[in-house]
Amino acid sequence: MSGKGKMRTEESPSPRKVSETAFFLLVVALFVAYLWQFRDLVPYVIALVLPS
Amino acid sequence: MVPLVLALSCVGAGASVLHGLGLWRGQPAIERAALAFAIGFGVVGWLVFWIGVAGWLAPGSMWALCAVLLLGNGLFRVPSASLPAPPRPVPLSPAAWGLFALLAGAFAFDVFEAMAPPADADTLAYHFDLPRRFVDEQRIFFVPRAMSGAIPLLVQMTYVAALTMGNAGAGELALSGWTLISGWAASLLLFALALRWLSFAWALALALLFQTLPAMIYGAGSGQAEARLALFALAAVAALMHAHAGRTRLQPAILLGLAAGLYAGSKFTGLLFATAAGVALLSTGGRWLPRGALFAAAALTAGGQWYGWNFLHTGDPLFPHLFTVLGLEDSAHWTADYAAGLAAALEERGSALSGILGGLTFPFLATFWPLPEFQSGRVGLGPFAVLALPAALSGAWRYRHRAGGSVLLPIAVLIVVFYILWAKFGGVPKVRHLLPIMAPLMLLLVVSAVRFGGVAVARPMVAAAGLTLILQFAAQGLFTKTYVHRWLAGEGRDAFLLRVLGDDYAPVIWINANAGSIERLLLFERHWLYYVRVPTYFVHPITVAAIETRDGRMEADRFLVQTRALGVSHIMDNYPEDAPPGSFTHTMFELRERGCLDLEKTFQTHRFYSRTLRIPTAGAIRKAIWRLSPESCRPGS
Repeated sequence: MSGKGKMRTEESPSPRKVSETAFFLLVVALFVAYLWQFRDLVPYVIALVLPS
Repeated sequence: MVPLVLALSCVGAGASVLHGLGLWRGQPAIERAALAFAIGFGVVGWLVFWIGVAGWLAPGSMWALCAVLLLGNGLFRVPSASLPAPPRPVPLSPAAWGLFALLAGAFAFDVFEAMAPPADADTLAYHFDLPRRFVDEQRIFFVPRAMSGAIPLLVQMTYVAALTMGNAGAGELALSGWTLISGWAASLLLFALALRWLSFAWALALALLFQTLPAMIYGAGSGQAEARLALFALAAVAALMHAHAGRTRLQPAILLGLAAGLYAGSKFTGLLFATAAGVALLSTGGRWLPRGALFAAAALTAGGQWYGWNFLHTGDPLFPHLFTVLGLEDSAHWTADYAAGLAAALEERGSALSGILGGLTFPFLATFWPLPEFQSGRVGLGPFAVLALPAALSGAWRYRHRAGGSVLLPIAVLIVVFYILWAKFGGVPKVRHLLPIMAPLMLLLVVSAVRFGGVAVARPMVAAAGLTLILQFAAQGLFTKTYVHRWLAGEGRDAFLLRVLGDDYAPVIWINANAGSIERLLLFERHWLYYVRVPTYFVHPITVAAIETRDGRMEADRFLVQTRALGVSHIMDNYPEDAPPGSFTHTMFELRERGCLDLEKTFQTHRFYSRTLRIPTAGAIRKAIWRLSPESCRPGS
């Protein structure tokens, strides 16, 4: 590996890592956005799960 | 016993068809078993229609049919694909073991549901009710009810088989056992097809992601058709794979035609699927004319019977949707007035999805901001497709130079064309109506992302699958809680239904207890048809023309004549105190004043907005049961 390439690896994340992080963030953001529509149901879910 | 025999009969029937088409020998073992079930499921539904029309619906004829179809299982002696033997047994990965555990849990949840009395509204309204009535009469008869009677009923014909075979009181258990097995079959086929591209663990994850979609949790264990229509959609995918692999062969076109026809024989939107399948077949290239002709002939043979049945009884193969187009005369079943009313109602409900922009944004709106018309959210298609979309698009971009020759292309054509047609002509845009095509779509997305998306998307895809599975599995746990409670508490049938459906079920208990005095009950709520044990007549202001019940159109004397002609002795309806003139209840008040009706019983009832989450609807509903009393009826002024 050239010195230039090594410098980039040490100082900044690789493009692959950046892409992977971006995909991760996208997945999490979309998942949270999906869950948001059910926020009004949370009390009912808790009531259902907790022992009466 | 009955569900297992029926399942093996389906496999035998499908194996015979696939062997006859030359698509059996040398195929992977699990794929041909799952594909055989899919095709055989349709074959059984197809055969039962003719047996039912002939009036031979009896346990003997159904068991004899199964005995013949079971012989097809002997074809498993024909060699399957020979896989290279691994040097030593490959242990399953921890991920695969974890997925197996989830799969076992999800199946166990569904077993609890299968042991309980059915509670889904559509299932009670017609998916199970119509088969029960056919079995009672030992024949198939025409049901002149738009949208839920005179419709393609191929899937429900398999329910007829289960009910008939499970005679002598155990029919319902046989039927729910059958919905349990048939509700999982599409996931098995999805798993089998996915193994062509994906690792064992990813194929398993994909099947589990599909099986635990909210719409599957809601529909697979009940009588809803969509979970089973996914079988035909995936059979079409298998046919397209064969068509792509052997571009000069004609047999895959026949298989594709069978899959498309069976879908069309099960739901009107199957006609859109058949059109999409035809376009997808063309996209595989090869001998388009003979292939197209064989495809069309197979589709017509597999699904045409229900359209012919409707035509025979009404002159409209898509009763009542072509009434105006065909210029039909008014009849007892339908009139131009009702046709206009239904068209207006459908247009209004379908307006939530219109135009190119609407079509493009619909999947995202339905996922994140669902309108009530979409019926997504709690019974939607889950988040996975949207979570996987960026990675899948990345894979498609990286693979774009080879995409033109890929087998994935005709599958993509099938999905896209179906979606466009459904968005334009599918009527009410209920998201769960897309469930059958979700199986191929999820296959396409995961293959594109995992196989071609590169290392950057590998772990995010695992995260997407993991998050979705945790959520969906938890949702299924909540859904199943009530069934587990019933089993642990040893709850009886009426007690369970009262608890789950609310005391809205109480009038049904009263009606059944007084069945001896009720000759025929007229009712508006179709979801009670299955449990009411007296002869019934269902009325609806939009879909049933035989009795006029529309607000502003009600005429007391005409209503009396119509109900007497049908032998109605009792009426059940909601009973608002502020009924406006011209409404149904107001007419009941008028007839009561004239001595034509007695108010036999009233109820204060409550319903649930969500059965699973025990969310009640606002306020109580007053219900009345009226008794017609023609002996004391005075003429109107």
